This record gives sequence, C-alpha cells and structure tokens, in this order.
Amino acid sequence: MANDKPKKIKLDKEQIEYLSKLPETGMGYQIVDITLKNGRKINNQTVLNSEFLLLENDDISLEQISKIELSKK
Amino acid sequence: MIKRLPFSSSSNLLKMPETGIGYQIIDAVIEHRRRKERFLVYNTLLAVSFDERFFQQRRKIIREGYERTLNKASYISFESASLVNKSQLGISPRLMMEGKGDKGRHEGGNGATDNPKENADGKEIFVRISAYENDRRIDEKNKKLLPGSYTTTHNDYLTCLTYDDDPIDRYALPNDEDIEWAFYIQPERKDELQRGIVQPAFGHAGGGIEAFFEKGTSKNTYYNKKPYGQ
Repeated sequence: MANDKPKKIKLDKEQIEYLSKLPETGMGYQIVDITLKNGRKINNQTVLNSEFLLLENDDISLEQISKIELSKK
Repeated sequence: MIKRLPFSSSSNLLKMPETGIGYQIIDAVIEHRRRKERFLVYNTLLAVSFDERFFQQRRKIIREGYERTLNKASYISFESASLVNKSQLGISPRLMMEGKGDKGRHEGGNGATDNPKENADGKEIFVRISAYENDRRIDEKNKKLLPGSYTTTHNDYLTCLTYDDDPIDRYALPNDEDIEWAFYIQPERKDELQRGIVQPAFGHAGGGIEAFFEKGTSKNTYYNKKPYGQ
C-alpha cells in the first residue's frame, strides 16, 4: 500500500544555518528549490523549521543534495 | 479570574454592542481599584479576565458548564466599563473591513507581505506557534525573533483557542505534526511588521492573522514560551 506521507529528511548543519538566515514563506516553513548533485532540480518543496525537508514524491537522500534555494514566488 | 456581574453592570453592558456573537470585550475599572483591566464578558453576565490565562479559564467554563460556573462565581462590580474598539484588539481597521467567517477567521484580504509596513506599538503581543520547542526563528540568546519570521497576533491566537480551531488549517501550515508550543513576543515601537490574512495553502483554508517581521524584532522582545493552548 502506498504511503502518502511525505518523506522527511533532516538537513545538515550548514544547510540549516543557511536557511535560518533566509525569510520564511509562512509561519514555520519555507518553500525551496533543490538542486541534486546530478544536476536534476526538484522545485517547490517544503522545509519545516529551517531543518526538515519534506519530499512529496521523490525518494532522495541528504547526500544527493547539492544546493537548496528559496523558491521564487 | 472568572466573576459574575451584578444587575447594574450587566444592564450597562446590554446597552453596548457585542464584540462577537454572545460576548463583549471591555476595559473596566473594578470597584475600589484604580486601574483598568480587560475582560471578555459572556452574555453580559460572566466576566473572564482577558489575559494570558484566558484560555485556561475558558476551558474551565466549558468543563463545568456556563450555568454552573455562573452560579459558583462570586460577584464583581465595575465602576466603569467601556467597549474595546476592535482596532485596539490588534486587528487593523482595514482587516476588520474584511468579512469574518466561521471560527473568527477572516475572509479575503492580502497576505502579510502584500500589505504595507507598520511599526509595532510597543504593547501588542505576537505569538509564534510551532511544532518544535527549539524553533529556529526564536533567538534564545538575544531573546528576539530572527529576520524574515512570521507570527500571528496574540488576539488571533486567543480567537483560535477560543473556538477550538485547528491551527494547521487556520494558519495554512504544511505540518503533519501537532502544534506543541507558543512563543510570545512583544516587539518594540521601532520594530516593523506587515500584517495580513493567511491565504489558502497546502489544502488548508487559512483565514488567521499573520504578521511578517522582515527585520525580526529587537533584543529582549521574546519573553515567554508555553505549551500550545495554555
């Protein structure tokens, strides 16, 4: 049976510090675009508390992430 | 403090408009005291201090029932009482012009970042709700809110609690975790904010009040952390 709950990844310290300095999108969360090390981009993902990345459909690991940026509105 | 009002005070309140269905929010001077205190009065009879303990008191009323609470409550008399303007409750007149729907939620309007900046008045309290006790937007060392952070107003937080509203839906949050904490911030006059209505997102309706602090708040403006709802 499919699990509809998004996968939650705890970001590394550097990423958390980086996101903590950027504005929130709403109370307690930021919407981000992720670039993977293979160049693939996953846009409009949610990060809670500048700390936990929620992935709706993608099954990636922390090690695959190259860059995180705030999504443009 | 939960008190019953005598006929004279109740009659005076009956002449004033309601703040919401079945209640009034008033500033009153209690007999033999000199300072004004704020109360939420149910049905012009049952006065509850409108302070940080309000929700606890309200729970008590729900638990025991209105009639029983009223019968048990001791009397208190007001020397004077005046209705609190909605603008004094931390909602701008512009926002009050928007419709107010179920559970005290606001309809229409803009999100905070689409509205002009205003300065805090140094008195108003803002609340940041969070699933995390170590909320990263709270600078524990300097006792302040970090730049780029959102809160709601204390008034809207109380409204959310008063109606037993779902904070995830009211503030359109993406969380799948329960909200556990409430962080209290009282910004200084020099602190700027933008105030608006939470727009629908993540399948949630929104309608709560949100305040965005682009530059954060001054040192020592974060003053309390409590479990959500207490």
